[in-house]
Amino acid sequence: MSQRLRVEGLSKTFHGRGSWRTGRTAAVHAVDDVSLTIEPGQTLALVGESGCGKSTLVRTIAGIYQASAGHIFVGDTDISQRRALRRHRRAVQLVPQNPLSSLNRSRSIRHALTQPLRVHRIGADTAEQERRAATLLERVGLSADYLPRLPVGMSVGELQRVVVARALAIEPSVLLLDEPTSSVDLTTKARIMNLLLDVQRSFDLTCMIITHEIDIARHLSHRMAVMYLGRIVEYGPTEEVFNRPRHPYTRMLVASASASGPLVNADAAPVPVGEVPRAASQVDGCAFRPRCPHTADVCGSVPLLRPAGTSQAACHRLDEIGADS
Amino acid sequence: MASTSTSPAPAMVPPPVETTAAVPRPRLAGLRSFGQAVVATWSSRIGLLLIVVYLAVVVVGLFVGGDPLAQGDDILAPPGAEHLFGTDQLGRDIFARTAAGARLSLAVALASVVLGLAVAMPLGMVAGYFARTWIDELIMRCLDVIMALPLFILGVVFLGLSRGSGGTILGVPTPVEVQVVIVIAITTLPKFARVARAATMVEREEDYADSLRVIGVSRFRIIFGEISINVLPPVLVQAFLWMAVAIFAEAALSFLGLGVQAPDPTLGNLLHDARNYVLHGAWWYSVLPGAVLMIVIVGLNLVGDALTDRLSPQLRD
Amino acid sequence: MEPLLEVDSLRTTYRRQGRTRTAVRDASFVVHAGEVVGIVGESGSGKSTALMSVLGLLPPNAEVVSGRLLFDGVDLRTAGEAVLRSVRGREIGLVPQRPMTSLSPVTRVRRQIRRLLRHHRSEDPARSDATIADLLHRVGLGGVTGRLDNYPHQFSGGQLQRLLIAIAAVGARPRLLFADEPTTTLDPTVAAQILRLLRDLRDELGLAIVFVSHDLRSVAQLCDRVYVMYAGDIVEEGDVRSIFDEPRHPYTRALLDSIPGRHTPLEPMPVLAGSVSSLPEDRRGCSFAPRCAIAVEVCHENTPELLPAAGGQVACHRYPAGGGTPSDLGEDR
Repeated sequence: MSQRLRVEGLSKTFHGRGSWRTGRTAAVHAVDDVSLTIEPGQTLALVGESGCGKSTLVRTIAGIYQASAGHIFVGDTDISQRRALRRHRRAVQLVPQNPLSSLNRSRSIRHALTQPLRVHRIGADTAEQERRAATLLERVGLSADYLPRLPVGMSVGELQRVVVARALAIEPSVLLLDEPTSSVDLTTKARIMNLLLDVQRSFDLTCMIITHEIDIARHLSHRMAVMYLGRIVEYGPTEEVFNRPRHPYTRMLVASASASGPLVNADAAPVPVGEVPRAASQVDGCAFRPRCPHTADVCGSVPLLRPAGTSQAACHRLDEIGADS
Repeated sequence: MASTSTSPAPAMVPPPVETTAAVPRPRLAGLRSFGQAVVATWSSRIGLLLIVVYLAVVVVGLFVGGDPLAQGDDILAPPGAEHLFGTDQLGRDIFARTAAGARLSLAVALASVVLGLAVAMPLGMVAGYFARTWIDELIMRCLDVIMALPLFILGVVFLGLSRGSGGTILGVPTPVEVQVVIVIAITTLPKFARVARAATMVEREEDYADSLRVIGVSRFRIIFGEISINVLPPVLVQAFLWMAVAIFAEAALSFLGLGVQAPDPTLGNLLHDARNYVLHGAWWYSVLPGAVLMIVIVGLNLVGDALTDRLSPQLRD
Repeated sequence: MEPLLEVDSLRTTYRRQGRTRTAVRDASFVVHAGEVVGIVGESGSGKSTALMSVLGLLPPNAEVVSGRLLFDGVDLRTAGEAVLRSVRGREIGLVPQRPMTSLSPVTRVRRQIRRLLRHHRSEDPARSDATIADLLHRVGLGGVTGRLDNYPHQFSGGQLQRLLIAIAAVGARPRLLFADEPTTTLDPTVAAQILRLLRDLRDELGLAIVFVSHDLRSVAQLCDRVYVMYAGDIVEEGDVRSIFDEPRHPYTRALLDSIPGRHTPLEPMPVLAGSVSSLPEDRRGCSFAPRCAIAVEVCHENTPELLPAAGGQVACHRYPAGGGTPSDLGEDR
């Protein structure tokens, strides 16, 4: 059954990669005070470019990284604490970005799919677990013939299905997907997207999808959050964010990927400016200031998310730059 | 809440099922490619032949070589029909002694490499998984201390101490063969651990290590149940190469009188005994056992190189 | 008008493990001076192989079996290595897919730029500092002139790609530029900037560009004319508006149909059945027939030829009979 995922004031700070003896170097705030709520059975798309902290955010929610500050609630249970129970943690599952790398190349698909069942003692015996593995495979559109195969030689689309099946094996209530369509061909992309829509509905999952492709985010999500240098800069219902982007960065993203209208309009689209900043770079005040066409003195302080229409945006000059671009 | 209920997910229209006609890959496909590597080049084929010759000496000696300790009247007889490798100063058949020595050398080398692997691989893998943390530092610095000690210093100290206490280690009576095994095994530890650590660090970068953590698999299981399979090939190749080193080390320790004691033969103490008779013209006494030693060391190295090439670029220590 | 590049019946094969696979099968395309031509296809369609065949930069296990590769009237296939070397870089520039791996990681950027410029233009090294600064300004990299003694990893992917475009398109002053998926490894906002840069350079320098991509949106924004490739065949050609507004080949329609923004959010998208990998090497008929919703008997028997159609060319037996709306094609669920 799906549950609400609530992230409150989550931060993740990395310390320099020095040896433990030589002391810590400058800290990198990869995720900085992020708060989000995903209602049960809904999908949130987290959109941003490389280095914005979106992968760190989901990896922290998934428990790979320990949060530096803040809380992660699944339903009413806080899973962010170090002593959170394994049976609570497993409610959140992650589908990593690279499906080939997230399977052990020396282990069969059978092993990959029955392992979560063995770990959590689901299914009475080996035969039962194997039946469940076969069922899972069929649920994601692969036949049981794949069970004895090794990941080598399978297509990325097939591997992606296996990884989704593995995440579903222990019946999570929250599924996190890190760039699920980034490494597949255009026509395979559509299949993976259909799979995700189908799986989310039939397994009744609360989903969070990370992507840098805003039109994929639009197709798959109910709400959208736009991330820039560790912070959420815009957050609201997907159609609202897509059709009436408020934050200058969101406008830039939407403009660079406007696929809904006529495609052939090269000269009409505004061209984004500036470089995608590195995670380590520190900007005083609004992080987007160096690329923003609307900067003013007020941007020297960090803007907080505030309501704008039915969504929220973190920009000091929302009123000045208007609702529509 | 995700319960542990056994009911599968609610059925909806299942998506079209993709089938595969591909034959399941055999689990041993990896090993097979190593086998192919060994027969691929002339140098490795020659190496394989040399190893077979060595094993033949061991096996033939075991069944038809006769008693290596039986003394005869024929003293320092040259090789001939009756004594293939000739006889020594006590009239013992040198072929029988070489074969028995080759067997003991092989057994000691094998045992020390296996013991070294059994200790070093877990250490190296734990260090690699927790790379750049205090756990890694602790393990690797301890192994650095071992690496700083030359084999012979270690051998003299260790074997000397145990001899001084009447052939016991920590009060436990230990045959000298076992002592030699322990000494050689200790010297293999740093090398094996480093290879295991390096290979584990490569695996740690793959997503599966973290994915399995999210699923709930324990670190112990991830290291020893999942990563270990992928770490094993480079470590085994290294172990194969170190068989030659271990055989040579055993011979060297015995040659210096630190290892297995007379009258039991090993390749090392055969050569030790033979050196007194070189100037008497008994060339066969040193040359023939020496040739057997050389054959196996060259053979193991040639095959080991082929295996290393197969493995590269994984193994670039 | 005489085309700048005319590729006629190009066939390129790969040998792998004793088997031969045809990557490009008898593809013909032309590029006129000052024109941006897009080649669209999924991975394995042969689009990059076609470009590398022209430049003679195929891997050792690949071979151009037949065809003519006329650049400015000279057949590059038979011209020999010396001619090819004088054409590569100087006449035909190449913008690579991965800017980061196209530069040496251990050499300072300034040195690499100089080396490349010297090769392309026999540049006098004493003058090249000013030339380099000028080049960088042309591609919007004026801000990094002070950092040229850094190493490539100290630049962002977008900056490196601009740098490579500066060398390949501006510094060498070629007449033709091959851009092989130049934006796939870049973030969307940076990719949009690179596309705009390429288009501006075409306008300023009169450069012809062949833009190879699987990203339809980039192709729509940049190109004048488009070829669509499927499994080594060119299946459709046309000016960019006709390809995107009135696609004629069922594969082109399926490709356009897989753009998520064209469908109702949260509803299943139309999906193209089957996969390209299962095609036999010695196939008869249309390569797309096994996945085509409107294929008939003749499609499995005879290979369709690229024939003139309204606004371009299409290789389909069912054209114009197979005309219909995009969404009634290729759905399997």
